[in-house]
Amino acid sequence: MARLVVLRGGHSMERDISLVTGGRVAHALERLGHEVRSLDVEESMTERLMELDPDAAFVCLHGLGGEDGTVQALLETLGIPYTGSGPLSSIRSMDKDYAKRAMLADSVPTPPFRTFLRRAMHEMGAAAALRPAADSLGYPLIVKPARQGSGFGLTKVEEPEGLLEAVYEAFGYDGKILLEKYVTGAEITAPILEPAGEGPRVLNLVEVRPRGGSYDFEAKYTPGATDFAIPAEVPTDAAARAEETALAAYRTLGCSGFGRVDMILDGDVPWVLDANTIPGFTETSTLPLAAESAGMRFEELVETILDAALQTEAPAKL
Amino acid sequence: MPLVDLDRFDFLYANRVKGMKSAATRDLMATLSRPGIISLAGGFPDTRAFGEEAFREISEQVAAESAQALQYGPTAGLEGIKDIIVDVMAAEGTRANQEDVFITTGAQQGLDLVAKVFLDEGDAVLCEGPTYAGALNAFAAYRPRIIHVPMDRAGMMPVPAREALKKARKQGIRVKFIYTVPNFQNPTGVTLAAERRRELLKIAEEYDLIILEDNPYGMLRFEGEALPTIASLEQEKFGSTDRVVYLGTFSKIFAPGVRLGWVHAQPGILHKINIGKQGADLCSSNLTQMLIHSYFSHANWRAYVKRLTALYKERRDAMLDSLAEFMPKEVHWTHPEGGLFVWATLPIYVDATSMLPLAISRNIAYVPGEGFYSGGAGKNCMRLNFSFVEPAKIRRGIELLAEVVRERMELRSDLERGSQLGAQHSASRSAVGNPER
Repeated sequence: MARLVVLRGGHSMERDISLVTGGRVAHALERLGHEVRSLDVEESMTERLMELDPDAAFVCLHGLGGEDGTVQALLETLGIPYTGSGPLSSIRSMDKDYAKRAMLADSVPTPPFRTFLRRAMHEMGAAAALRPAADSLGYPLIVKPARQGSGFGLTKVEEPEGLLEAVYEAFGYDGKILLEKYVTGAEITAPILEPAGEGPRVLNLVEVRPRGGSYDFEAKYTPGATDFAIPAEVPTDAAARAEETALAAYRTLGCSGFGRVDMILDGDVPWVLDANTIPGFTETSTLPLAAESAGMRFEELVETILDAALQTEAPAKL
Repeated sequence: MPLVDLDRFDFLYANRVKGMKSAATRDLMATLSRPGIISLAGGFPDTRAFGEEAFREISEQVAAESAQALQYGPTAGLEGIKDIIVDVMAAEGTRANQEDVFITTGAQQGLDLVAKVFLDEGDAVLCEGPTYAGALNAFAAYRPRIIHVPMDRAGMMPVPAREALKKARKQGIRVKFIYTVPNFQNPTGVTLAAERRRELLKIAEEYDLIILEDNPYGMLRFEGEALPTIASLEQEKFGSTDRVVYLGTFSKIFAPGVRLGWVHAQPGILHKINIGKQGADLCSSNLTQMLIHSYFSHANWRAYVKRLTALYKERRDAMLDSLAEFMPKEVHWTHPEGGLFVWATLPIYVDATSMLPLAISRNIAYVPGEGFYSGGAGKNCMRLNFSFVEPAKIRRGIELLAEVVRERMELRSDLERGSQLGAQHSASRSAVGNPER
């Protein structure tokens, strides 16, 4: 039995999802016999963590503050072991611009993209480069905030006329945005688990089929709005390549413990769109669904992730 | 492996709920529970003003009659509370008939029941544009067409209202009723001018329509003369209630937690509403009716409303003052003489919905305007609530909001200036590097 803290809530757009994730994880940990305290992100959090001095923190925060290395760096400073990836790998995965650059450098396929920053728009007239950048990527293309999850602020732009609106929308969510080449194919996501003392493995490839056509925030978190095929119904060698690519992305980004890599399978190329270091644990989330289909109960999944955090002989997190 | 089906009864759901979506803005609203945020997004009266002692007192009085409080009651409501409502309506400016009062579970149920009684699929309702979002939700279950009539600072405009009715008639669309919130409307805070109330009644006569007069805020007047209700104008003109269905509520003058409102209408309509309510919930809670009865017959409720009004006036002033101090000159807003809300209009190119995430990240929230229209208008507008937030926080909130608006305006001009330049270069691909690298 361990004394644990579950961190959930936070200030990001995905606060509600985090509360659900945290609630489910806390219950599972209690059923496993651990002593669990749940904390929200607020001014007294650090003090509470120092008072409680837990054996480990189970981080169930999504988005900025929780998934971008902020809380990870704090926990490291406090000497509290925590679940999932370290600070550098967190910020790298959270920021799609960083993630894609790292993947390109390691020859992990990711769709061509261009990055724009709010500051450059204001101080350097960077808006003049928007149209040429879009033209070079070709239409349709995707405009999205660099550091935002759950499909917030993401627009598919069909023609030049829609570009400005999409950019305007995306900047509402982040000061950094991406224009990304639109790739079509099956939406595949690879939930990855890295148990203590073992290498990372893909639990099961999940094929996402949103009924409304796009896998947006609503499709993600409304039961029945999305169908999942587990394992993904794709040819065996394409599946093998997708698994390999997902693991390559996971390693390139330096993830630890668990994660999820989202891809589009275009013919036999698995294009990596992004990696999540703290995917959701809600009842419609792909990680617990994939674990279940691989014969792993929710409690077992949670315990495995916790064990990886508690192992003392593991190499330092990135 | 078969598909994982998360909602396996999907194929059984009724068509009317299949189309109902949780708006993206509602998902954003979920973040409002987070600590530190100043929310001007609510529509809450400030129930903290009521106090524990007063609540204990009225509860004790009800406890003496616990058997009745815990029992079912008549569908139309307890007799005692109807007498209270006659008093309240007199204070609101309408001479009500005790037999014409029908208790509902909040005025919101009144909206649902009136829609249930009058609307077939495809019938139309004439509403203010913008209108109360909760009314749109209540009507939506009966799948009507919503026709918005534009407003100015004197409320719904009669000329476009007439035109809309003429057009609907031509197209064979059956308009059943006109829905209006005449006093300090939700969301705009605008009050329907006296002559327009008469005009609206005339229009309803010409087209033989019902007027649904929803008056939750009438008593929350900070300044100026109270205007006659449409219900009272009808009584004055014809001697009795006919086509005006009046909705009242205790939510704003007492507390929304009791979920108690009423319909005042002629007996024929009330009979149909009675049948509707029997199917919906049999009767409203005796317990809360008796709580209200106890309070309104023993305490000085007028003094409480006065106290609330003074509180809200101070907050409205704080909001108007800080809007004037902080907002860029391109932003306009209404100047309500009462109620809970101010409606702000941003430059046409600033989308209040897509601005919300940035605002929330700066710890300030509001309700984007498009939810108050059926069909996408009002994108550059927002509703700001002042009743629930202390003046100092309102001031800080408006200051933060003004910064966000300025940033969005600035981004827009950066984008537009830049893209004009960019368009000149877009022919040459060499302007940017090869993205394939």
